[in-house]
Amino acid sequence: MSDLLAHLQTGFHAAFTWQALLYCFAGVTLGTFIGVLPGIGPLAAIAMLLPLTYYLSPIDGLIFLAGVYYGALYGGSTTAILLRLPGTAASAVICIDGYQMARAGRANVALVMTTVASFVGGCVAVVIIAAFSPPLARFAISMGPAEYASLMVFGLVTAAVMSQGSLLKGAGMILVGLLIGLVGMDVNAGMLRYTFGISALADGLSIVALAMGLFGVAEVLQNLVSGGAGRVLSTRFSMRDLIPSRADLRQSRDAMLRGTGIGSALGILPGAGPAMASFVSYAVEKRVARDPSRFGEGAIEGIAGPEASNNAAAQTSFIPTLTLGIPGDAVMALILGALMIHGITPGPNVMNSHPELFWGLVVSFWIGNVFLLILNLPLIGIWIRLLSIPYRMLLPAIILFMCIGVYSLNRNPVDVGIVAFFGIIGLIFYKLKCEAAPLILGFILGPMLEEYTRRALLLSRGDPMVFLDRPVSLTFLLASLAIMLWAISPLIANRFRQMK
Amino acid sequence: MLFKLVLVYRKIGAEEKRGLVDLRLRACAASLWAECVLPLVANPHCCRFEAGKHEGVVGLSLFHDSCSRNQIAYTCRVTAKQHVPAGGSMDNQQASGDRTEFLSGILFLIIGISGTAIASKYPIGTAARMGPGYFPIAISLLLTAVGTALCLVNRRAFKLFGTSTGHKPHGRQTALWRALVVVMSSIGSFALLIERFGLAPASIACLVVAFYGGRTLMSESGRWWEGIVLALGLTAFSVLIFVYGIGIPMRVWPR
Repeated sequence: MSDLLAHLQTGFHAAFTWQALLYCFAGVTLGTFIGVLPGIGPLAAIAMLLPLTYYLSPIDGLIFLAGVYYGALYGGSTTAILLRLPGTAASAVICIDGYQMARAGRANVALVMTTVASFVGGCVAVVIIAAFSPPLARFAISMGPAEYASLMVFGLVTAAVMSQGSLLKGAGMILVGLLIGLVGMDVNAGMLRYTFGISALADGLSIVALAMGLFGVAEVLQNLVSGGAGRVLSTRFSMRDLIPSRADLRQSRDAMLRGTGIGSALGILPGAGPAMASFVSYAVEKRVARDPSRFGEGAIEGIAGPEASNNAAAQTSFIPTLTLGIPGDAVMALILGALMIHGITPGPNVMNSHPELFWGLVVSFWIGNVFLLILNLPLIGIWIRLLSIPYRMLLPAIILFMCIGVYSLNRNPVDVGIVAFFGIIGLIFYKLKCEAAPLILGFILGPMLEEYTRRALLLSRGDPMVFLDRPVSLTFLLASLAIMLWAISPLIANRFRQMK
Repeated sequence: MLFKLVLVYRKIGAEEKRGLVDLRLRACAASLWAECVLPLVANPHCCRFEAGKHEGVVGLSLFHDSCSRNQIAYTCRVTAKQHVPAGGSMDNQQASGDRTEFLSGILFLIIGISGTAIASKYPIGTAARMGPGYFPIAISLLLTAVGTALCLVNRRAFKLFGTSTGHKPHGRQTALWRALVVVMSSIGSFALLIERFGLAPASIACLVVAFYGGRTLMSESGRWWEGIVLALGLTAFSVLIFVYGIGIPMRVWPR
């Protein structure tokens, strides 16, 4: 316990500097902005903002990006309630009951509830992170290369299973990502691989250029084809009755706690994430409700649970990312990319060698949630007005910021070209309905997976049984196998039924 | 976005129903969660989607215990266009769904084979002492295998290749090409100008191309001078923020 307090003290020291507070504030504000705008999602936004963190200290950069991430989740719910436009995938479920509440004239209550629920979810998640990360990191330090390689395989298999579309496609995308991750100089032999004679590729492909192309440019193209996402919508919004009634609070209290629990658990799992957390939470709320028919008609639990859940998941997903160095989803992969830009190797050592980084981030979650509480409630009217920014104005701005961002990394125009190239690739993937998020996971893990496999096999003199002999490694591999079987079992069952 | 999917809904005690439903909904990234949640919360009370055949968005309907089409339409903001009774013509739908799978398989095959071919020039080494070629070849071969499997599983799509799958929205197809040209030339003008002329000209060119190009693709095109105001304003903003604010070392004007 005293350990925890000491850790949190380190965190408060790191997060209560002027810069950190400023970047935390800037992050959540920008995140809310992005969440409110329907044309751009948190993934593309973080990809665009990644180069900026190069100019910040690692802790400020991390606090900033994390703020953008959960700020966007917050902002997404606002538009989901008022306009039935989910700003992010995670807030899609908020539309169901939130919009109904707004139609019944209870928009204020719904908005306050999302804010309170997010705050509760976020605060509890901070405690969970603080409690679970140190033991996990201690355990991770005892893992050898074989265990690590198996853990990565587990993470990748889960990501493939959880990805949209068929399992084979997900697996294929991860393998493509692994392959792209190998571009550049091989660390052991100093040999250039897959560089096609382009000298800018010798250091490997930059995650910024890759992510911007695959998510940023591809998203812009899709929006353009669909005729632009923005449209002017007017809403009346009064500031009265911001305080929810006691009955509302009592109804949603348990929902919030359940949602937080679900979100915290799902956030830690690789491949799950806030979107999934909010949906599972909604399903659970409906199941436990005494009168399920209220759901869809403006049940307050239907927003309190999912909202607490997605915020908790967004924060606990930092646990595997920072303690093990294994990102659970594409956003976390980008966060790891930000760490790597600063020369910090992700893994269990981050907590020991950079305690101020880890604990500062944890404390910043809490500060950021307070900011959001202050920021969201009085300023909701302004956020809503932002929706009237037409897409024809937004589009050039997005393209320009992407160009400047990627150019600023190395001041090499070839990088800008790489963004354009991956934009086209991203469009092809979109047309083929291949999800690009698993690719980014593979990209981040590719070089690490190779390194750990190499080391494990070097230690065992080339005997592959090393992965099965060690119990922890075996557990991870068996878990991967189990998940794969679980994913394909309905397919096989279906085949069987058809044959009969 | 337009989605079609085959639904198999089942109530306890009721017979299995199948239907082909057109789902039209906003690009709300809803596709992301749909399948994620499916395995976790699917239960016999919920409507079930035929494994492997559903694509795009199915979604909130999962959470409705009785699965009437109204509720789907209501929760997902979808409009059900068509309802084909059991045994109806699903081939069309299936073919187009399989086709993307088949083509992805081909794509993976191409990447896998060329990855193997390129990596075969690198020293492979042994398992104990892996050379730079060992891991890339392993990954590429796995990718080739996945690609082959995708093609084989969806081989029926190959036969249907010549046959037209019916209506293909021609307008959207050209819109895609135009969007591609607009975005690429906007990015390209930035890349070409930044080195020689500095940030301000590159940014103005990038914005002007993006605005006037993008304008042609949108329903509300606004006034003609908006682009100039936008270009000058945003350029001033980014010079102030990025060069003077954050301090990214970049030339602003041509020398």
